[in-house]
Amino acid sequence: MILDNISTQGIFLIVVISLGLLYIFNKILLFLLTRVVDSKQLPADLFNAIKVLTRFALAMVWIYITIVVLNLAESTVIGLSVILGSVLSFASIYTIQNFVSGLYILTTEPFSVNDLVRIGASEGVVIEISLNYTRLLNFDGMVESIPNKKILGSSIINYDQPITSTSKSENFIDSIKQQFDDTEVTKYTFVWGTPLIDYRNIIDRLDSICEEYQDIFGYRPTYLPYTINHRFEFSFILKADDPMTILRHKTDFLDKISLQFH
Amino acid sequence: MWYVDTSPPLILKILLFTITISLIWLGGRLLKRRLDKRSTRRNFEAKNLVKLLISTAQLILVILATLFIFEVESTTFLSFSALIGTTIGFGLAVAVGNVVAGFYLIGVRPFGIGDFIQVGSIEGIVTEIGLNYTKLIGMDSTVILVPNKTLLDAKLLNCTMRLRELEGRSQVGHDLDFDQLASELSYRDGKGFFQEFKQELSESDEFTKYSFQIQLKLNIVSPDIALSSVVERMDALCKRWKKQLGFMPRYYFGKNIFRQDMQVILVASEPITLVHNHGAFLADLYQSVFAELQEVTT
Repeated sequence: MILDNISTQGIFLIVVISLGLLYIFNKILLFLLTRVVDSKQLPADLFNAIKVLTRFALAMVWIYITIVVLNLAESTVIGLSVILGSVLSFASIYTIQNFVSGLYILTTEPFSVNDLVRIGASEGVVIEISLNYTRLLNFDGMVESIPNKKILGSSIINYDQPITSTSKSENFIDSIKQQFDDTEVTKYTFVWGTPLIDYRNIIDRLDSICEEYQDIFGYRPTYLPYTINHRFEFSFILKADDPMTILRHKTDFLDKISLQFH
Repeated sequence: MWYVDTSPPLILKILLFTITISLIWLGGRLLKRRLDKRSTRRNFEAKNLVKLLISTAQLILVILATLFIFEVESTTFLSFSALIGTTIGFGLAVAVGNVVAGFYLIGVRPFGIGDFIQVGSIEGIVTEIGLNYTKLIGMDSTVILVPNKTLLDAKLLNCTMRLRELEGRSQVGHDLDFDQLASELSYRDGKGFFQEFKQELSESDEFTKYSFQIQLKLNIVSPDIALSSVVERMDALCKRWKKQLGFMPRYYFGKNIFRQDMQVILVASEPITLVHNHGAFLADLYQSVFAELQEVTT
């Protein structure tokens, strides 16, 4: 090799200089890319991906230069790459766990798309179950992404439950059809406390609002005493055919109830 | 590569790789967007599945492109596959852990179907112990899915008990209210082996204790409601509810910081009775303990 006769100081110098050159090269490339983004409206995530990729590629080039300059033996390179490989695969365990968890959720079906669910502390309608994340549209109209792996470990309340038809069909074909009919009803519950006043009075006020919202939800909202502390807490039960109805009107419903008491 | 005699330089390979990856990524994105725009029908499940398939295909394409462009040899691929296998194995461990935990729960039986349990902040009646999740019906009759692994890890309180077990413990002095419960259940120990065997199999001596804390704001009216009158009212209430539940509700006072804490224990032979009656009991309790409040506003 040409580099055979170079002294240790020389090798060190080459490694450092190549690092510096690559750094400057990276900067120039980024500068050019930014100009492209500005002028041609390149999507931001593509830009980001290119940025990450170039950095990765440059790091690889630098490692390659170092290996050549240091004139490492083949066995050493293989040894190092095995270590690097193990590190990489161990580091990607989390990613792969997310992937496996996604498949697991899709097969065991604790919930499916368009269900109103509560996962840990997050509540919302499931809009997508992807390989890495499950996305929930929450009550604020924002999309929460929950890593699939997290979902596997947390308790889930699925407010969407299939309606078990009480009337058994005589016809065999019809009964099979019923099995595949996924008519679901969403039954969402939340707790809210009224001030400590006369019980009859509380009931009257709550009933008037529930009456009002019967048409909006399609079912009459109901409530049950939940606990007593500095307020009398009720657990409210909202029922609707479409989870989005609840997502849209729950906050209004609670506003109306709060206004009744304050 | 087979169609060129000499392999192209590394820079070219990297460039080719970058372009291919970008194309795969862009293609997938476009397809997904099209899917969202074109199908306005509400077939959420199918759409999600197709999106997932696109993502998986993208992943496989990227791996294939890497193998092909960088001319990865089969031996290298093999040595890497061992690592990848380990990784997938670790990934699967979470899922498999739940299944193993499910079998464990069925085998060890810390609780059975129909028992009322409390795990952390979750409470409910067990309706199904599945391979992955245990299904509970909560106090507000929502269906709660608890991962089996969580159940295995957590502190578990089974509120459903059998009087037979209590009896055994009462003989060594480890019981609180066995005599009272036995009289309420009209429980008689079977005479003879056959009788005892029959009793062992039947679950007629099962009962569920549901304990919860409430806080009484006794200074809400002036003068304050005296604790002695709370006791009077509670005793009358408990007598009323004994008819409904079959068992006398119990209560005791706790700390008094701003409000008087009170622990209430409802007992019934079927846990579902507790779920059905809990709300009505609280409403009755509120009306009788805060009797002054009802008079003030009406």
